[in-house]
Amino acid sequence: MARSQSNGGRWVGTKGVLNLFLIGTAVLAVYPFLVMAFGGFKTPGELTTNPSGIPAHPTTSNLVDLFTGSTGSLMWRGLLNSVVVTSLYTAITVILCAMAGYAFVAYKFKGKNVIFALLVTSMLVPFEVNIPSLYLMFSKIGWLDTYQVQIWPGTASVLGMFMARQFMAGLPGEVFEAARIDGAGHWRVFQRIALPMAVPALGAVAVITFVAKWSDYLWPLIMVSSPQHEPIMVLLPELSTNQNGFIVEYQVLLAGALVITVPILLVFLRFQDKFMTGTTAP
Amino acid sequence: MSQLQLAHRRRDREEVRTLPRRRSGRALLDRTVPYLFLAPFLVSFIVFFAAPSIVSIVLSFYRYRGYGTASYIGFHNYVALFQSPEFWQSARVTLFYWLVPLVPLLGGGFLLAVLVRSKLAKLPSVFKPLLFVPQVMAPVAAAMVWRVILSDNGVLNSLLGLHVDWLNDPSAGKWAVVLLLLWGGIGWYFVIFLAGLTNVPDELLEAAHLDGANAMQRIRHVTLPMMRPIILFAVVIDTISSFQLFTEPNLLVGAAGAASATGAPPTAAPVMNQVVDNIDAGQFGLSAAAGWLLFLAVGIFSILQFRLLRERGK
Repeated sequence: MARSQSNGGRWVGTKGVLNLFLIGTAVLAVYPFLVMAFGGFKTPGELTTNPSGIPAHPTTSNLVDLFTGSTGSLMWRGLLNSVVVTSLYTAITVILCAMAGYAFVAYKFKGKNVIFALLVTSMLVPFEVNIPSLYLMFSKIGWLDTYQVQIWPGTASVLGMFMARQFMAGLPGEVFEAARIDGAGHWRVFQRIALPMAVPALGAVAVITFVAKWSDYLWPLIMVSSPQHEPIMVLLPELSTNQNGFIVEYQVLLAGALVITVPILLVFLRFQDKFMTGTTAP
Repeated sequence: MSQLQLAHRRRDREEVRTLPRRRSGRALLDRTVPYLFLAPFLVSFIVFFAAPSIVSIVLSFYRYRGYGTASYIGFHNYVALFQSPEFWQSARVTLFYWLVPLVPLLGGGFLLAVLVRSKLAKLPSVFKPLLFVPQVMAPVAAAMVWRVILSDNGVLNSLLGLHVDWLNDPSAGKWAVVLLLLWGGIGWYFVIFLAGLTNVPDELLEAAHLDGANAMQRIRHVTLPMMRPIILFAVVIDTISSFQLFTEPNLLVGAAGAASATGAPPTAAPVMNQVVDNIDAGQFGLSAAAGWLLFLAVGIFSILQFRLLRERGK
């Protein structure tokens, strides 16, 4: 405080410049969202004459066309596929991670440390190296181009298990012990005591799993081939490439991009802190 | 609670009646229970990760087209990749996507974190989500939006009065991807470093200040050394994610999502395209070999970074 008064003018000047810099950076970060939101409501051809500004004659026809026109059934199907796959995958992942994390916290058992060390070490291997062998495996058992292939692989998330374990290890361990001595069954202690107490950590696992799965492109691109099972992330970019018989214009694609972004944006606005600690947790 | 007590009393009575057999049955159950809790996770892990990893290593030494017999060919897949100009080109492109944005991403993220954390910034709680929000847009959507921003008569060219064909000019495509990566990534490093800065004790900075250290000196001699573990973490994560890059270049540059799975032209195609294209071509051994080379490169660079950043700390 004394400092800001002693060399007043220069101090205020630096402060102003720095805040202007921060505001400028924030504008750059947000601006592409505006390009998308504006673009989705522009009339055909306006993207080339007015790519950066507010639409001159805002129209909802891009959105309406996309979902009710000839591409409508594809879009709805893609969204349905994404919602089904993402929610089931997230639910299974959270349950598996919670159970495994609980096992490591609440029990002593043979091989505990070895299993844990192996799981954590496996995080060094990127899942991409498994794509060829998984592709072959799924082709042999008929899982290519199905829902299963999008729902089960990846549910053993070591990062998610680790986050659940770290959190539960911080809980007072005597609670589990006391409940068990009181005669509550193993599953009951887990379900009635451990799960509710671990909600903050499991919530973070759920948020990051949901967002990563919703946004995933590579896995369904390789493993799924028909619009019947493809998620919206794969279907939408295909609309401009004549792959399913359509070449839609770019303002229509932007309307689609808006639709696939809004759900995650809502999750982010609602669970900001979980989102940021979850995606940046080591 | 009353339910628990009831269960407790009931168990007591039962135990009195059949003590010896019950005990051993219960003990066996108690010993199995932890494995039962682990089982679903482990089954999923083994079936969809551990076993495929081993198969994938074996596969990289075979020629196998997905049907018929697989023939053992030793290191031939690796040799073939090392002799292929396309592989080397994609390796160079991946290095470009890793090294060019590295300093602006980490440096920019660090600078923003220091500024927002300093007493100079107004409303730090507003800047945090605003700077992080690009992370929220899925790469697929981001690539579409940036196609509009970088197209011939797009946002960037019209705002700056440029005439760069970012998306189709072979020499500009890589830079287009870098712009997208910078926009999408910087908020992540910013939040990481912001969290790291909260671990630098205020008293330490205050003491340095009283000793006459100016802002730059405090950052160099107090903040940076204390942040070394976080910086190392950020560098390693940046390396791993850069080597796995796939969606952004393939949906942003060139034909973008055209007939094949990989849309990027060779001048902008990352190493992951070698993995994916070889699956499309039915060359599963080659695809696996490309994947393991990718893993080796990430491993080597991560170890080097650990060495480098650790030794400087001593």
